Amino acid sequence: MSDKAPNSEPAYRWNVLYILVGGALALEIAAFALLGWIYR
Amino acid sequence: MSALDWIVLLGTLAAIVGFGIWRTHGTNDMAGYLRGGNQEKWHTIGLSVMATQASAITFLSTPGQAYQDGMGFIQFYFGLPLAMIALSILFLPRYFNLRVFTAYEFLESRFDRKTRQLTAFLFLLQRGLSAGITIYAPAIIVSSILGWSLRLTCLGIGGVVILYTVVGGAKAVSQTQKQQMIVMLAGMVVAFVVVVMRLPDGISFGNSLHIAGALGKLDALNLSPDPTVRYTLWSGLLGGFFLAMAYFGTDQTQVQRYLGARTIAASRLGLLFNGLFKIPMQAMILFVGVMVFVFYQFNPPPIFFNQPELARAKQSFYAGQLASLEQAHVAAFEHKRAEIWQLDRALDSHDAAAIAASEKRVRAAEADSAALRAKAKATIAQAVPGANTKDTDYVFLSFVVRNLPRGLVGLLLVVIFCAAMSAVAGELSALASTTLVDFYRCSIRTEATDAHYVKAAKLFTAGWGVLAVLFATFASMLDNLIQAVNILGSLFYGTILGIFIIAFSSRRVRGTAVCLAAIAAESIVVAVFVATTISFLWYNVIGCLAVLLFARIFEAMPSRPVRKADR
Repeated sequence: MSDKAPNSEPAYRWNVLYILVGGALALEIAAFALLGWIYR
Repeated sequence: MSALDWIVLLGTLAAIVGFGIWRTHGTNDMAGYLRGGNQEKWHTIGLSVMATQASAITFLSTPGQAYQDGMGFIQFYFGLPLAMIALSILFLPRYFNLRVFTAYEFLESRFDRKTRQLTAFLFLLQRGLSAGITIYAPAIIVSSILGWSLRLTCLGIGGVVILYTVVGGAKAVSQTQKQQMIVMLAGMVVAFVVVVMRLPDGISFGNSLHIAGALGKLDALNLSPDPTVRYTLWSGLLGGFFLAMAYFGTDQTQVQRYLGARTIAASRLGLLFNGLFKIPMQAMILFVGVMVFVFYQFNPPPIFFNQPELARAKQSFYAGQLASLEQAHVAAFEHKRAEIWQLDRALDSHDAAAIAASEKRVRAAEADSAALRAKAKATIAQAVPGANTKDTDYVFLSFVVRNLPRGLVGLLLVVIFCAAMSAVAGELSALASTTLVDFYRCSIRTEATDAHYVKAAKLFTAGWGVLAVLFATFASMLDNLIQAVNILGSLFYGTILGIFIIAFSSRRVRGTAVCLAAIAAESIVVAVFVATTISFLWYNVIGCLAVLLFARIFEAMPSRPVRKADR
């Protein structure tokens, strides 16, 4: 990843990372829900 | 503690501190001392950001919280990954483009000096008190359980941190935090493995999860819309998001960590690293607490984990009452253990009806045990006026000291000391930077050499360190203040975040309007705190939104002619 000025930075690479982090959060919440449901 | 534990504890701490000083001594320019020379790589930033937030209380108190209330506290962190994304997009480019040393420097370029210094002052007040608590809170627990002098423990933690933070500045903080974080994570993995190995033969890991689940310890999610319930999915996602935005975006303790990055990309990756790994790390720490709970279903727990406080109560008129409560507690434990073995057999037989019936009996037995613990706490409160009857902070360390093999006790103490030191170091470095840049260089000595400012920064670091140690040493006289300081963050963060959001998003609102809006918003937050039982996580939302609203109202009001200083 570069530190070039925003206009020349490939924004899609960062967007992929943001989606990855957001997606990980969703998976974690789902995992906690599943854990509580299986072992209630 | 055995000789091996002392060797592990002192050897590891000396190695980390010695390495930090060796790598970073000789820094004598401001960029080097306050921002680490902008050389830090993304993984150092990521670990440093995590280590700054993870104080010793994280490792002492969180497992105890899971022991008592289960995994629900994890919801507190749900807003954090979203905040990391928002900060990467909105805040980072502005901080980097302006090449600021502190977050508050930015506010002068946008508003005026008084807004900058008001916000910096709020930070110094809140963080200055917090630095003392960061030393005191683990020191009181460690000294109680191990019989060490509280004053010497505070002095030991504070003294070592002052040494390497003064010598090496921000770079020393980051370098030592990287090693400390690795040790902390390794230590928690070891603790988890050992506690699972200590479960009785014949109890499978799956069945131990069933036992924990039957007693409500694995209910991580609470979907209640009630704002007075402290940890819910909604307060975690929304309130937690605003809290994380304020803490990581406007608190100099964190801003200083990622301003030391080599590039803005390294800063972003460090924040996103934190966003990705924070929840799994906290889940693991909570899960250790759940497994300690399962351990104590097969091994008799004390009726009250703060043994020194219990011993004090037993010297009073209530000694006889406490003795009979302890006997009843042992009997209740034996009965509950028998029911849990029944549950284990029912689980192995996969008989749903037997499992359901057994779970019901186990829950009833647990309720009996809990009632006896509550009676014991009430008796201790009567026996020792002013006694602290919350013992969850003592659960994990007393388990470690009594049940871990030699050497590993030392390792877990290393974890606790590393966590305390990493958090305090981050705080001292940030306090010194803000004092130097936002007050000393800004208003007192505006023209001086870099070498002079570095010397001043070292003096400020040492000064704040001494204040923190003094406060920690005398904090035992101010129990109620500790409780107030713990929620101090949420009382102020929302307002500070609102100031920054206005700064980033609106060109029309000026310094005076924002200052007045901050005062109005703060009054509302304090009123909510005093008059309601709304969860403290919501204070961040209320404070922030109030600033955004009032700033626009005050700006729209007819006013005196605008002075140049307000532009």
